[in-house]
Amino acid sequence: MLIPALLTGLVVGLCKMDYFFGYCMLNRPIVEGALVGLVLGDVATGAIIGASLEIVFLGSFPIGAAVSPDGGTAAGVSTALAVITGAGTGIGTTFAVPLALIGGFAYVLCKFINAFFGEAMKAQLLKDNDRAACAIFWVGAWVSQFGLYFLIGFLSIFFGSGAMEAAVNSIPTNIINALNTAGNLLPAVGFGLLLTMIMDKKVAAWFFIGFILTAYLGMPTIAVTLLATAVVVLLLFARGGDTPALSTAAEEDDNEF
Amino acid sequence: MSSNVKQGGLLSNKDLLTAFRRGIHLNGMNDYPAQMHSGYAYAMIPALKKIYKDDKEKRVDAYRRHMTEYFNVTPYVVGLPMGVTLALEEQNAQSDDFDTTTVTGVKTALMGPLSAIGDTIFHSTLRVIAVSVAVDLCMQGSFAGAVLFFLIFNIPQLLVRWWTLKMGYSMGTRFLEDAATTGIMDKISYAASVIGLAAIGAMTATNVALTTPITFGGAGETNPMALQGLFDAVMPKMLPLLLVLACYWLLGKKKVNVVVLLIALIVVGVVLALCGIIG
Repeated sequence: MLIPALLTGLVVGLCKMDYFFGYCMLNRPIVEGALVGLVLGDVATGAIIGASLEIVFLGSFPIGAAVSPDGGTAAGVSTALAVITGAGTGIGTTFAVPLALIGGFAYVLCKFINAFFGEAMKAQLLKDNDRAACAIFWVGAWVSQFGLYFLIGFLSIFFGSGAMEAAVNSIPTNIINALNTAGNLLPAVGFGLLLTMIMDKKVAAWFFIGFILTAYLGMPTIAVTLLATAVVVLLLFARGGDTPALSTAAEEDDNEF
Repeated sequence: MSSNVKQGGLLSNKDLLTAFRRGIHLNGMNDYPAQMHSGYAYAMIPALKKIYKDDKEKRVDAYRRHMTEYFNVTPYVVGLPMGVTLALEEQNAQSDDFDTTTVTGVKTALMGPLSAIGDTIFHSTLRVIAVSVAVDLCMQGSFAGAVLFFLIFNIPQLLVRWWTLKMGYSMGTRFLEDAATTGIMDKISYAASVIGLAAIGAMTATNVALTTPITFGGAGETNPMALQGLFDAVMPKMLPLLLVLACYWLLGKKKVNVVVLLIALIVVGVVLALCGIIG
């Protein structure tokens, strides 16, 4: 169990360095699940769990100071548990919500640790010692994020997979099927949350257009996305930007600052 | 290398490239007192060193300014405040009576509106588009799906990072006025919402699985009537659509907490599945 636990810790820790690497979405379920699957030798399980959880957590991403569930860490650990115990992708997603909460709260701890490094960095900068300040920035980023999330990945596999395996073996089949069915409902929360962020009366029809194209006509999602892109380009540019409700700002005076 | 920076600009394209490269680490050490302040200072250091080459007092003052001031923005658009503040720091270096609160003021004024538009474009739209393109491949168990997602998201965001930095530096504060008068931001935001919503609509039909096994008519008889068949005749995927709209209503209008809703949905889903109502 030591090697898989170490590998999982390594991937989960590196993925949390997402924020250090330009917020490049390493810490999203769709990437982290696939990566853990890759290092543990079961890409398919990782890709499927990752994509399922990506949709569940589609609307959850960290904005500002709020604590949000960490779907990426959940996908990494869930994939490792599913691969090691052989429990399958359905069970893998069931434990994702509590794991995402643990991941989210760990980031609070991370930010407290960062505050100490931040103070040290400031002290060096005020002494005009920029090299030391930059070194502290690097060390702080790696210790708090990689360090903490490595531990989360490592510990949950090292101590958790045995308990998980025992639990999976003792759950009756009909409960497992019911858990799978319930898991399939969760993407609705991800979509609902996103809708609260971007849907208003002006554009709401587009949600239904996308739905109708796929539900009735069976269009793949990629085709719908491309079609919407083409139509919106047409709307915005074909008539010289003469789009309803968008030309209000164009008449402002060109005052000097 | 051709230089598009404004005349009299101290910083070359190479210096801006350094700021761009370091700006990638912006959110690397986020903390509670001031969020991304450490990363902002980290990214600005080499440029500030060049701007205040012979003036230690002003240089340390600039370090202090960016290190202590609260900063939080959608990281992909950080180039704009960085470019604008670098242009302002330059003015400060060249004059004796420059009011440095302008730097703070511009940073603070930019954060809110930029994050609003940055979150819409990158988190709510580009990421959703990337997922919508990659999700089918992933569901087939392919690693290529994750790679595709990663590339679709990151190529545009890196370009925007560089483009906003150049723009902010060469235009200084004038950028803000120009953006407001041309209404370009409104158009981008409108386009982003349209594409994002269409993708969510399509994924609602594809990625939420909810059917009912309920049938009418006696067991074993010739033609028991399946309730699901009735639903499908009216509108395929009707139940997933209703479920998504219900979640939208609960989260948006009823302000139900996301985690509470997720857990409630698991519990209700398991109970309904065990009772043979869904599945």
